Amino acid sequence: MSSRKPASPNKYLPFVIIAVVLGVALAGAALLYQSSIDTARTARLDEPPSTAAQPTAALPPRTPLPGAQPPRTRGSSGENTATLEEFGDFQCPPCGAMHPIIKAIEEENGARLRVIFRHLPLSNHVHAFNAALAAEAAGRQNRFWEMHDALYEKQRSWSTAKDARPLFAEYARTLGLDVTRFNSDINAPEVVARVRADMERADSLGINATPTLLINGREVAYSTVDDLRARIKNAVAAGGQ
Amino acid sequence: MNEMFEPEVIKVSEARAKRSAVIYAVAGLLALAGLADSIYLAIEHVAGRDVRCTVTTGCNEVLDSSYASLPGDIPLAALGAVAYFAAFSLATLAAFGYVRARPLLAALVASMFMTTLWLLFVQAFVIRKFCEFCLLSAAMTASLTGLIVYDWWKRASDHRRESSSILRSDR
Repeated sequence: MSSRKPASPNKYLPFVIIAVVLGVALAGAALLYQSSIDTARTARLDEPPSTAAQPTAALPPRTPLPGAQPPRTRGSSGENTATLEEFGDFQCPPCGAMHPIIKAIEEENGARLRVIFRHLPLSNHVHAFNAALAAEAAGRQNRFWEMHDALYEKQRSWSTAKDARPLFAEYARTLGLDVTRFNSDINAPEVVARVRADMERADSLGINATPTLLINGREVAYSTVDDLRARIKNAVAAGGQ
Repeated sequence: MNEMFEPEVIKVSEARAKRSAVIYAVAGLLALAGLADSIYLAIEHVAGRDVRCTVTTGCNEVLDSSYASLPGDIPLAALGAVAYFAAFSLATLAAFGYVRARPLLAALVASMFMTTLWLLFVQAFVIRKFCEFCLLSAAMTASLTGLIVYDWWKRASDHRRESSSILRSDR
């Protein structure tokens, strides 16, 4: 910047300060972002058990319910395949943050990993149940995973809408679905029953928070994304044992 | 101007320069605080995390509202971070005597202040919830505005006093 600055030995000092602050701000932002991502994905594990869940702790374990059948599955169905089962809520921000990581893990492990998605829409997320219905309605036209991905990727848009259903219909249109059928299926008893069945499975397993991940049927207590990745890699190496 | 007044004029000028340097240094520090606040909000937005309020109760309502995002789901806080960094840079230059940075800083802070007023209005009358991190940013911008106005007012009054003193000495 040209100016009427008097000659001074500190001529370059302000520019050095500005450059240093810019560097620190960018580095700080990058660190904060990494930390936020890791914390978002592991925050659920740090939560204390909910008060509603505590009384059942002393009771004998319940028989796990199977959830919606057939489950929404992506990936291989071979015998030596590890299974990653996610209990997710489309409106939960940590689930949204987890979504790209799970996709990356799927790509890394290819045919040796099968991913199952289970619905666990939480009551404090006003559009979560309808989002689960939208995914299942898309599933009736064989586009469950496409809608699943769209719902997570556009989570911020529809989460803040007063009425999210028109947006879900718009996503269905974008995915090439028959929107009339989609709008009809979203209220179908079979669709509602699938979501409820997954919720009952979560309840039978004592799962009440999202995202909860099970590897080969066991809840995984990971501390970081790298830790999760390593645990899945081990399960894949063990061939689903 | 009478030469016998020159040493006094130089002293006064140095004192003013020092005062301005202090004012802009403080402005720079305020902008840094605003920058940190904005970066935090922008990163939490991008990471999809809920921001927890400890003083107010409406952080999520405010930060998840459509007013908190620009087209393309760019967090408004990211724009704030850019504005605060620009304010910090200009304040630093002004503190080191780059006088042309002053009007640019004043224009930038004025636009930030107007935006802050709009966002306060939205929180108070549209969303009817307040986010403490947004209020902190509003306080930073208001303080920056106060400092800039104070500096301009002091320099204007100095200029008036100087003009009348020259007129008296020339008689």
